[in-house]
Parts: sequence; structure tokens; C-alpha cells
Amino acid sequence: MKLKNRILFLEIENETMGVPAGLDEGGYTGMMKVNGTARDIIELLENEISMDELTAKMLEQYDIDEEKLRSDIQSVIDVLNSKGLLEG
Amino acid sequence: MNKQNSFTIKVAGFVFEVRPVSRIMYESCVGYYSEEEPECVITVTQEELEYERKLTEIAAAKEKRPDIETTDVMLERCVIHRMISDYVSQHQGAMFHGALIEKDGRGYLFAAKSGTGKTTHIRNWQKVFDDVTVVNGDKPILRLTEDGIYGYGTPWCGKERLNSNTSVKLENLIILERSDENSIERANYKDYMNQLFTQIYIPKDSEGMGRAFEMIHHLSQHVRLYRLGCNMDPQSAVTAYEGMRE
Repeated sequence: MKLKNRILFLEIENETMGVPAGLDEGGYTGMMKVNGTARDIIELLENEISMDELTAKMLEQYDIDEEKLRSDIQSVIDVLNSKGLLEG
Repeated sequence: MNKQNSFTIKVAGFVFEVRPVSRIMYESCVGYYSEEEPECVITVTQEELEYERKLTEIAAAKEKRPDIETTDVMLERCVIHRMISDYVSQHQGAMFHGALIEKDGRGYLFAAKSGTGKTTHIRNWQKVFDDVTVVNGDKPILRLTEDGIYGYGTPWCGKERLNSNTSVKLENLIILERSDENSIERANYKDYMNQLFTQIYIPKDSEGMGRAFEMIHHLSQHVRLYRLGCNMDPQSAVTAYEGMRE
């Protein structure tokens, strides 16, 4: 799986917001509030990556229970999918 | 190329030569004609008109509004607006859908979903105070300067044609919502990002979203955000004004 468009991040009032960099002709798809973990997951999705590879890369960075991490990754993927932002 | 219809306008400090197909746009640019050397040429081509028709049809389908017009004249206005907005967005500026007024040298920009009553509200300011200038009733241009953000009048000013070719330092951005009672309070940008992104012009090129994003960021640093709940009584202007005197 992979992002169709890179996601841009911006800090507004101490909150990180993410939005797709390129718009398709359907227009603006909405803003996402993201935390640090979600941002890292999204950035790893800029290149084609499998669930296992993504989990392994995140485990290198975070000291976190793998089951919890997989559930977090799935939540991020669900949000991206609901907005039509993933391909493959 | 229909060169004989070409004319030059100065909008928000930018000088454009406009080469339209029809004369309609010339007439709606009264007050913005310029003799200065243009920095950008806006040429309306058949390809641009067809592209605009496609965008309009997609938007009409998305909003379930099959009644949206796609006459050539309307499309031409949209093409010129889009090309100028694109140019502005590349020069630390943005076209913004809202109503901008000036009072006591301060700029107040009202943003609301279509049909909420922006125009009625700014008319209430004019009824209640005798020193209010409507800079633009629909689509002012915002520009970032070293001294903050300034708002400018443009020829795109809604069906009421409320505008003046002037500028004002933008101090307050107000999200206007209908309410039975009038009230105003400070608001956080992060809670209104989705709405702000439907009001700011987002260029279609690959970097366009990033530039719109940056402009919202600058707004959050330079301009106070308020949420105004208002009815359509003139008193709502007093509530708004008093609530923003800090």
C-alpha cells in the first residue's frame, strides 16, 4: 500500500494538521488532526510498504507493544482509506 | 487570440493584462483599470474554457446542483478569476471567499457558508455605524507583508457588487453562524480548519495546497479569529464590534 498524494503537515496552535498535497478534480477532501505516531506512519506510506514492513520500521523508532502498534497503524490506514488517499 | 478586447487592471497591487473573449469582464472591472506595465498576462483560451466547464460540472455534481450555469460568459469570468488567483497564490497572497469591511482603519473579514447572511451582516454594520467601508463583499485578496496581512478589494464582489478599490490591514477574521441570540467569542484556528479551507482559494497545481496551507498558518499568527453567532438584526453589528474591541 502507498499514499496517492504526499500529505502536508502544518502546526497550528500546537496541533499538527495533515492534508493531501495534491488535489484531484473532486477538490478538497478534508483536514486530519494527527499525533506524532500517526505522522510517522503516514510519512512511511509515501513509498510502497506492507503492513509488516511498516510495523517493523515503527518498532525501530518506538518502544511500544506490537499489538497496540498494529492497531494504531490500522486506525490510520482506515482514516486514509475512508478519504480515498491510499492506492493498492 | 482576440487582442482587441485586451485591457489592463491593477488588483491588490498586481498589474494584469487580461485578454478575454467577450467584453463582459471589461465592464465588471470598472475602478481597476490601469495604465501600468503588466507583470502577468491572463489569456482566456478555448482549452481553458473547456477545462473550467469540466471543473464546474464536477463541482455541480458533487454539490448536487445541476442548475449551476455553464454559459461561456460565466465560464470566462471563472477562468480569469482562477488564473489571477493562481498568480496571487504564487506571490504570498490568496483569494479568500468572505466579506471584508474596514472601520477605524481596521479590517474585519467575515467568513461563512454560502447563504448564511454575510451580506446582510455587513449591511447591518453600515446601518449602525456611519464610517464603515465595504472593501469587498465576496472575494477579497489577502497579501502577507512584513507588517501583517492586508486585504484588498477586487472586481469579484458578488451579485450585490459591494467593493471599493482599497486595502486595509486585516485584524479580525470572523466565522459567522446563524443564531437566535447574538454572541461573539474568540476561537481557535485548529477548530475551523475545514471551513477555512473551503473559503480560501486552493490552486490546482501540485504545490497549491501547500501555499494555501501556509497562508492559513500566517493568518493564525497575525489575525485574531472569532466565532460570531448572529441573527439578522442590526444589533448584531454592535455585538460583533463591541466583542472585538480589545
